[in-house]
Amino acid sequence: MGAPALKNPEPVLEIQDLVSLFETPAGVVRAVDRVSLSVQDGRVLGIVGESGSGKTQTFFGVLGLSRGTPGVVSGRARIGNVDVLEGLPEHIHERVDSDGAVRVVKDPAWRRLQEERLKGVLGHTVAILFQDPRRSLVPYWTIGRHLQEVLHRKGSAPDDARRGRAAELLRGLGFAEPARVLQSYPEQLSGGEAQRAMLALTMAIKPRVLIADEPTTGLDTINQALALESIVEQHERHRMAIVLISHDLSVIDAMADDVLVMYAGRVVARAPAAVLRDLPDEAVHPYARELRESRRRRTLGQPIVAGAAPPRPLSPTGCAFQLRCELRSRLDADRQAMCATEAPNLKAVTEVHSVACWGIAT
Amino acid sequence: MLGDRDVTSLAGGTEEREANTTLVLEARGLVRQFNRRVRFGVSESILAVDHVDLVVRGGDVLGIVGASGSGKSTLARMLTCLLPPSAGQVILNGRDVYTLDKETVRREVRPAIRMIFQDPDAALNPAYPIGEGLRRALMLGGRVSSEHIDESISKLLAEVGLPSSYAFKYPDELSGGEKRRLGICRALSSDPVVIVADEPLSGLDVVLQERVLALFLHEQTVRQFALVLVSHDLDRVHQVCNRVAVMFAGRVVESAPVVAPQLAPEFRYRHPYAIELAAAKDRLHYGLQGRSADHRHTSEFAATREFGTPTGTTSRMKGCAYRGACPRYVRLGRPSHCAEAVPELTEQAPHRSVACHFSEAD
Amino acid sequence: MTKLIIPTAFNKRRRIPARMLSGLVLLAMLIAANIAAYIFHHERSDSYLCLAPSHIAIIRTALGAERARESSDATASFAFGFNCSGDAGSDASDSSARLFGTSPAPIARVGRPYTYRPSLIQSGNTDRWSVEAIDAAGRETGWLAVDPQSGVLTGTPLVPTTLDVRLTAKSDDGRARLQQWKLYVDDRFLLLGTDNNGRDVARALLEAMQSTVLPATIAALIVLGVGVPLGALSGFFGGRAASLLIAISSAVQSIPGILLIALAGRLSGWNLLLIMAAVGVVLLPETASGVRELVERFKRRDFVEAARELGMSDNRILWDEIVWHNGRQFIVERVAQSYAAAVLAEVTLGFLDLTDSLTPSLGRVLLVGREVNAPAMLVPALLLLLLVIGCFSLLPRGFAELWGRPR
Repeated sequence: MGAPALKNPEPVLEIQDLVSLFETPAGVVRAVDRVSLSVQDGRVLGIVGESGSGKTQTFFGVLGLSRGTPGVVSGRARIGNVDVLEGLPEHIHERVDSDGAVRVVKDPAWRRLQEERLKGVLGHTVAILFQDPRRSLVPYWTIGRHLQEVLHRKGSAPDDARRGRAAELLRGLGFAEPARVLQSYPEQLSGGEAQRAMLALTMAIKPRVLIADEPTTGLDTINQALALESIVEQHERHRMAIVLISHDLSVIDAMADDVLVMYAGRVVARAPAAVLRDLPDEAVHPYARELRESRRRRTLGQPIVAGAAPPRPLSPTGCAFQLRCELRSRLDADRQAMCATEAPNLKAVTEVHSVACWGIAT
Repeated sequence: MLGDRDVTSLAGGTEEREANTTLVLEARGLVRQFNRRVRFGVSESILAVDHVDLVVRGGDVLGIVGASGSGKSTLARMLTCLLPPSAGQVILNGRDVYTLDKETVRREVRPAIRMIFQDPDAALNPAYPIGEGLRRALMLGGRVSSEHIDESISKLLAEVGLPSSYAFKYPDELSGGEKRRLGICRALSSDPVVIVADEPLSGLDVVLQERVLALFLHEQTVRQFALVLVSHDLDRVHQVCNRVAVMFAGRVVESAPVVAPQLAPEFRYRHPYAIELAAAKDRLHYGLQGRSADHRHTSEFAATREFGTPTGTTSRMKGCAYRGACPRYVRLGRPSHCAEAVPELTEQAPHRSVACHFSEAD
Repeated sequence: MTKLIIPTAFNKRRRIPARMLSGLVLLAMLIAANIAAYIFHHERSDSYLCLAPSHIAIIRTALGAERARESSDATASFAFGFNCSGDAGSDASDSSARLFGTSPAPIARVGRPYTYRPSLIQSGNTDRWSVEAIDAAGRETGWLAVDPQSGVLTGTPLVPTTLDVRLTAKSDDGRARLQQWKLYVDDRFLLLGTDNNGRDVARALLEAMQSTVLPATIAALIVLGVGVPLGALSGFFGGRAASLLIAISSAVQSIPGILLIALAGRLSGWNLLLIMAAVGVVLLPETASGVRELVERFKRRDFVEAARELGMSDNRILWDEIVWHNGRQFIVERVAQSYAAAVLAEVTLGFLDLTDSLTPSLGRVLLVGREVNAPAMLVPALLLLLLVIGCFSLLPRGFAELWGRPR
């Protein structure tokens, strides 16, 4: 994706040491565990991880879209020049339960504060492309109405000019008959069309950074390709920053400049996409390796071998990946013990490549 | 190319599948019509499934591939006796299941044809623990006597890799992947002859997808059932199935055996839609090129594609539904035959049927 | 936390929650009260009655009007509303004129002082009072004394007996007025004592329990047996019958319940059982709608189709999957609510003196207690009311804890 020389080295979106907790019937889950990242203008950051890895919750928590309690409990986040989590520590308290357990509680007032702060951010600096577009669009508004709303909010030209602009946006996304789409309701569009319509909406916003959350999941190959191509084209035309979240490495590979690999709420590997693609298996984090191999098998159409599923409980202490880790069995006893007791932190292997693993030399 | 060797014996899986000719389930001329209110007083009828014939043999893994709106989920429901067809028959053991009385259906048909739902939450009543749900499944399946129920529950859970303590958990305590595995559990509980899995991989990350598919295959060798896999993901279908039926706008446009690439690298689809699906797959894997002239061409057609989506199909559209997006149609100078006659599925090679008036050679 | 445990599915042991236990204890008390009432009913019921066929009974309504009614049934279970008295006090010369403005208590307790302050309607300052108390054997007893000037009777009986008492007032002009009544002296041990007419309060309350709480069951049964199936079936199967039911129930719900109940009472001659049935009918539409909505909501959920896929019959899906597993808490709450509502309806009607005065009930106890100003009656009655309401508030919550997730 070769980005040109950076005009603006200051990141448009920056997150530092974010921690997000959720209370579930199964206990307190650390959905985001001290995640730090930054997105530069014009660059595409790909975030790959399985469901539950925290890749979506990282952004949703920062943008006030997460519905769990308590949610984001510590960390800093800056979008554009707005410090989105300012003042968070004052609203976090610890409370002792009737059973003696310590719970982290967040003031409900925080939500209002966050909303205030995000008013100028969401829908202006940041646009989000959600996973199931038909569910994030208003079911009784036509696509045309959606676009009108956004264009109106952005304060562009009068009505007819707006309609023209809406049609133009749709045409730019590969719709040959924009008029038909403008008159359609979300449920009347196919999955791929709805995804591209949503993309048109985000383009109307003209954000500095677009967060695309699993934009191709659930789509057939044709629509996947179309949706991704549209995103690529928009990126080439407008040079906005993109955060591409997916569990499919192929999708990330097709577009990203830099890649972040997440597992169990933590960043386990960070590298430019080209580096991650070309590095030999032993040099990459075992999870990234697993992803690459799975992708290889899939691309080649390699048949899946029948195999019973072994139970995979999450390890309570140490590295979350250890029970799946193939590398671990080849380590010496000392390092295996470290895997079991302490979770590894992200350490630089080279200037551009960092990894969180006891088994890789840093 | 492949000679006289029975193509069905080449397939995903390292073991050669027996060329099993026992017919397990057959669909003849299945049609499903919906009436939709377009606006007050006006309704249109939509053919979600348009005269589909299918054959499932013992030991088959049949993949049904199509985009959302192609009718594959509706077809799945009709196959599992959950949705009566507007016309056509579903034949199990020589009897049309829709002509049987309720009692016989409940006692004989239901345990034999099982469905795994697209939504993993679907099969779970949130009010009781999942062990309770499995108990019902086992009792209704009629294979286990009441003294052995608890044992069977534990065994089933273990088979899919869930610890037996999960029997006490409530549905909302399980992750998406675990719920999927539970769905498999449930389907296995009555020792069925056919399992129809509707998008069993949606919502799972790539690694988990492989594991679930491996589990399916493993269970199949142990329990000997035929599997019908409904998916939009052509890649995965190629990795596990031995036969694939490609659907578009409610019709099966191509039916072919799936061959592992290393065994028959010249395998190509013959129907233009199937060709495009495969091509898009390659595009994704080998890098998106951005808009070349060809792509723009295809994309435009893809954009005008309404057929197979809820808005599009009206009852028995005249002529071929795909012509609005068919490159072959354009290449051949828009022959009028395509607009007049609906192409029927015709056998062009052993086990290979295509529904197109023309072929690549034209 | 109680140590009692009951097994549930998969042999997972659960503890009975505290609330549930309290509710159960209260319920047990209510049932015990009912059983006790039933047992004592067959004992001498005349020990606290004050009626004999010839007695004239005066019924005072809460509004202060006075009516005279002749009671014909001395063995009626508990003719509670009557204020018993002897003859209304007559002029020796003219027995029809009512001359005494008060009525004496017909029951005296052994060891407790007995007092009666008479008041003459036409009194003169120079009336001289005398009293005669003759027991069954014809002898005159000495413990009852009268103050010749004021006519106040005092005395403390020592022995249980039945006396014929005659109080005479002679005025200067030779007119003699007298009042006669039968005085029962008894030595019962009474838990809560008596009211100012000597009636056993505890017994009254027991009887009231029986006539208030048990009939309320009718209301609850109607709600449970008619409202729930109606709502469930119409919610699940829909159709025109369902729409009709919805229309009817909305219509019924729009009429104020208390009017319907009062109307039903009037038409039935204030038969308590029928009034309870009316309460049930009034509460029915609300429950039926609630259940219907609940069933409709759950019917749409995917697990219903999945249950069909398993081979479950529609019946089982409706009653087991939806109503029992997802609706039971709601139903329990509604039934408890209708129980409480029925009891309160009875108390209201009884307190307003709208129910049949021959049937004792909590409302009438409160009414009479208020009338005769007896805290000894009011306080226990109110406590009993609290007991009933409390029981039916705690039980649903107890069920919620019992049926809820184990922590």
